[in-house]
Amino acid sequence: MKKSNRATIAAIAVACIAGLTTISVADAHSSEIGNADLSTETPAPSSSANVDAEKSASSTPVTQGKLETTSVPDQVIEAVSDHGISMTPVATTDEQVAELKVAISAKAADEVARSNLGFPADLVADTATLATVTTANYGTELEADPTKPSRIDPAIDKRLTWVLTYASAPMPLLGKAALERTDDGPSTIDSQVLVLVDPSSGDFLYSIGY
Amino acid sequence: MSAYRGAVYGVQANIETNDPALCSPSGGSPSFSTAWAMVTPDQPYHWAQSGYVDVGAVNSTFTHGFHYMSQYTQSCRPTCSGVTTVITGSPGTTVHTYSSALRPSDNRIHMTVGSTNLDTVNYDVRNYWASAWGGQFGGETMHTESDVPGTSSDHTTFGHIYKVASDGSLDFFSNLAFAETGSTRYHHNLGNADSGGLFVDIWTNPL
Repeated sequence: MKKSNRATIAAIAVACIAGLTTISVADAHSSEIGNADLSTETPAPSSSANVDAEKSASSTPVTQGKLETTSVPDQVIEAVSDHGISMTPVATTDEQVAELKVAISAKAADEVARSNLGFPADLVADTATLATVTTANYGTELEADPTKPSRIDPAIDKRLTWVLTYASAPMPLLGKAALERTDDGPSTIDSQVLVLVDPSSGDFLYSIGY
Repeated sequence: MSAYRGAVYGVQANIETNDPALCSPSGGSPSFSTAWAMVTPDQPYHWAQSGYVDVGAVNSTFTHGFHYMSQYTQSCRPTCSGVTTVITGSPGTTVHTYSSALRPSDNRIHMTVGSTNLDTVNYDVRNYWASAWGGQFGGETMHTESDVPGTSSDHTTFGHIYKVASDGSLDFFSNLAFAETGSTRYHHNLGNADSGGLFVDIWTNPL
């Protein structure tokens, strides 16, 4: 009986009880923003409550993908291009992947993504594609002077990667602190997610939820 | 006339890296803990931030993910719930400079760590954000058993806390106030830094 009780207590101990906690400092808008038009831009008091409700409601179950080796869906390519990501598919079938003899399988890449992003154990990518990818918005800023045009040297530049896509996956929802906010439940938001994993080393390279 | 006549066009801070403990590495429930610097208008549903995030691995055979992160709200909010989140790289163990600021050359907010651009807001926020901007700096965790970065013997320090002006120049914030209070486990301290400006410490105790 005691053993059983201890086991129960241990099980409770490892469970995660939701309760978002933020420690933050903020500047005072009204005293720091100089002569901005506060008179016309003051938000309604109820707005932050709407955000809280959104955070609480965002933890809906995710769908389980099929992890098919296939082309990245056109709508995904179009969506991520708006975030500076471009790609050229290299292997979109199991046969083409086998010919490349990469060390990391699509399934292993999916495990890497799931582990690094905290996805639920039953969440599997919808598609897996080997592609050469460039991230125009992620990389080294070569122009330090912000008054001059940005010049970014991509961190991922025409690099062969596993491209995993998830139609719906939970991503951390952060956002600003609010005086009104207390414990407001799980703070994730279901997003479409694209993950890049190195097919040789299995390194997690990059993810974007949108 | 620019809608942004205020003094705050962005934020920057040096944030010490501390890897916080999470409540469950394999409990089947994702968990996370973060530290960040954020620029935000005087609206609750828009922001742009950069920092680091620790997310719990749900498969105990794999290590958890400890990464840089950026996040910004999409223009359609609040009528949509959209946010864009980039998670990449590793913060290691040292102090990094995080910035989220409007770049006057392209009128886009760039979210950076050191010289690395993590992401760029893909729309002109001047058309969607209220004109009064401010800064926030904080740590956040999802479950009450998880820790915010920092311990009683090694606080997570936010230093060199700057506001970014319209030309990209930096100036210290002269006043910061806690937007959310600590608790019996989560603690904070705000003070004057020897190097100028303000500093903020956060930590978890007991672990």
